[in-house]
Amino acid sequence: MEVFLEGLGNVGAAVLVVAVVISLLGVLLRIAGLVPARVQRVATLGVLLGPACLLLAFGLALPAIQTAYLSTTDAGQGFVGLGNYAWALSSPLGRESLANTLLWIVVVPAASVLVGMVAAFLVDGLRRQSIPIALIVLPLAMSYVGAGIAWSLVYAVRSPASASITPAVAPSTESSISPAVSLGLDPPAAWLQERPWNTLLLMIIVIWIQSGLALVLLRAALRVIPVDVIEAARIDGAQGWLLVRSVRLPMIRDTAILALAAIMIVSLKVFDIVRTTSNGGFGTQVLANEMYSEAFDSSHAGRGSALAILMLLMAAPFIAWSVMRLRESWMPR
Amino acid sequence: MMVKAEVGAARGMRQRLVGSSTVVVLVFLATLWTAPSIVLLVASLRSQDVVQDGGWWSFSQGAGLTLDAYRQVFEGPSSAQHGITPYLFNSLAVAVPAVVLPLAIACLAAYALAWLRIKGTAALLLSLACMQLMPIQVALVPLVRLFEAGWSIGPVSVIPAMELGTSYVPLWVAHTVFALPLAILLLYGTMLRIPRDVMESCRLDGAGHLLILRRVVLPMLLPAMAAFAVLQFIWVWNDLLVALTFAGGTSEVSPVTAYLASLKASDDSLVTVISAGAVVALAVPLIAYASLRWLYLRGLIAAVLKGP
Repeated sequence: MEVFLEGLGNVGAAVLVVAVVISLLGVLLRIAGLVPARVQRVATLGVLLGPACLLLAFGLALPAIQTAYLSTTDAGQGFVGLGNYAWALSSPLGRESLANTLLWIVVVPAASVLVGMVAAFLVDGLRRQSIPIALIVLPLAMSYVGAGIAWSLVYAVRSPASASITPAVAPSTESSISPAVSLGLDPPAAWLQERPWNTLLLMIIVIWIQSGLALVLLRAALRVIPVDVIEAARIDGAQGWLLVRSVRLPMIRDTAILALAAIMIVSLKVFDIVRTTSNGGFGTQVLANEMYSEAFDSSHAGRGSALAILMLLMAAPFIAWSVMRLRESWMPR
Repeated sequence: MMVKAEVGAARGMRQRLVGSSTVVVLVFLATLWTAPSIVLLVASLRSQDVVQDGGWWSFSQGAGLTLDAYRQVFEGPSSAQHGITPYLFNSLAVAVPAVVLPLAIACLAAYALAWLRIKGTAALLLSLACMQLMPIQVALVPLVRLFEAGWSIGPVSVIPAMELGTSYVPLWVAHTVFALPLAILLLYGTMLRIPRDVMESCRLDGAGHLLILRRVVLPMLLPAMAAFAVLQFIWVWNDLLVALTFAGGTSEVSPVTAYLASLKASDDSLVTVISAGAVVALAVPLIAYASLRWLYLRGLIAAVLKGP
């Protein structure tokens, strides 16, 4: 009971803090309206933009620069120039993380968008669309930790030697059993230990999750295709697959590319899934998990920072493309 | 008339083309997609003894369904600990400010950017777009150090040194900072849609900015804010990286995701308990998703398109 009350107290304190902050902002804005006309604009802009600018400057921009600097240092030796990057590119773990992450950002977006596209077309003709959509999008609302746990069960192997869900340490023996064996199939002994399949299996989890995003985006795009375009094509004789291929696919191309880019950025940052299933063991390590491992588990801030910068560099093309696209679509007033 | 009839006929044809094969494939897909969640549910309802010998999937000893795992999840693995309850409250205590504060701050900033004719708005917006897509890993280490060491200008401690794990503040600040770019971009886009004459007549009437914000802007922004709120709530509740980095792993402050992760990492033979924990943690975003689904989808699409 006291746990309950303590918890409620915490939530109450949180709500209180929010109320205080919002009231403060309101009061400051009011004051800004009362100062002499000469400084009014500055004061108003200060209150309106100040919090956001301060938070972003000190919470994102400055830390990013500090990380770049940190990446050239090492706890023991001080300034090491590009030493950490050399480590990342030459050490087995660094290379594995880089290679895996590259694999992730190629396979997961493509597969997710493919599934999403198929689902979007299939759903399009249905009358009661909400149920299949809801079920396929559901994993998006699930935490990656929860998804990792659920799929660990799916991929589970019970070896008589160990009782764990994912035998990370004990190698599986021939007498191990798994759901697949119960179904009569003949899979490898311990799925999550076999490279390169284990990375693929982990990717399937994220594909399972992100296909919902692709579905939502592509379905919205399909609905926006003007009916007259479709009817005109039909009148010209296009039907079924031909209609899909020559009319509908090209018109959702842009959205598909958008979905690809969005899921690429998600795949680049994949952390929770790898951490809770294999924790990067057996060759499944990825950049985000390795960064956390180096920076916080092993206190190698320099190496962790270098990996973070590498992640940023990998994201740079997508960021640049996104920003250019945005620039075209809206101009400020 | 001719066109209408043709359109009608075409639509009918379309519905007939959606034959049973489509439905079959869709049912297959939907089942495949729900399967892992059902596996989780089943595993959480079985008794640990059965699972210990044969794995969660073995029914040779009968169904053996029980709510034991859930009892254990709430009571805790040992009598000294509290189970999952404090972590659930922590998740809520972290999520509420992490949803409301970015919205409040973003609202002010977006209002200024949209209506106060600031030089360099374009540059600011583009840098916001960059910041939104940046992997947050580039900010983690310095932020951790900032909170642990604090920051003072002279004798004034601007940011007090706080041990991670004793306060929600690092979590609130981190989540707010990481959510701000997208929030500002979304609200800015929505704000632009307010008719210019409405804004101008308010100013002509001598209304202060606070009044305009409260009476005019806020009501019009409500749908967009609601969509973002649902998205952000589910995101923060499900987050693991910020939780692990800034919550110090203590039961005072850690959200439920961190608890689950540590539970699985420390002893993953407790299959039923871990599964039950995952189901419990899942309940909140699931309810949010189920009841506010269209709002959530709207938020998702807006987040990807970076516009309303």
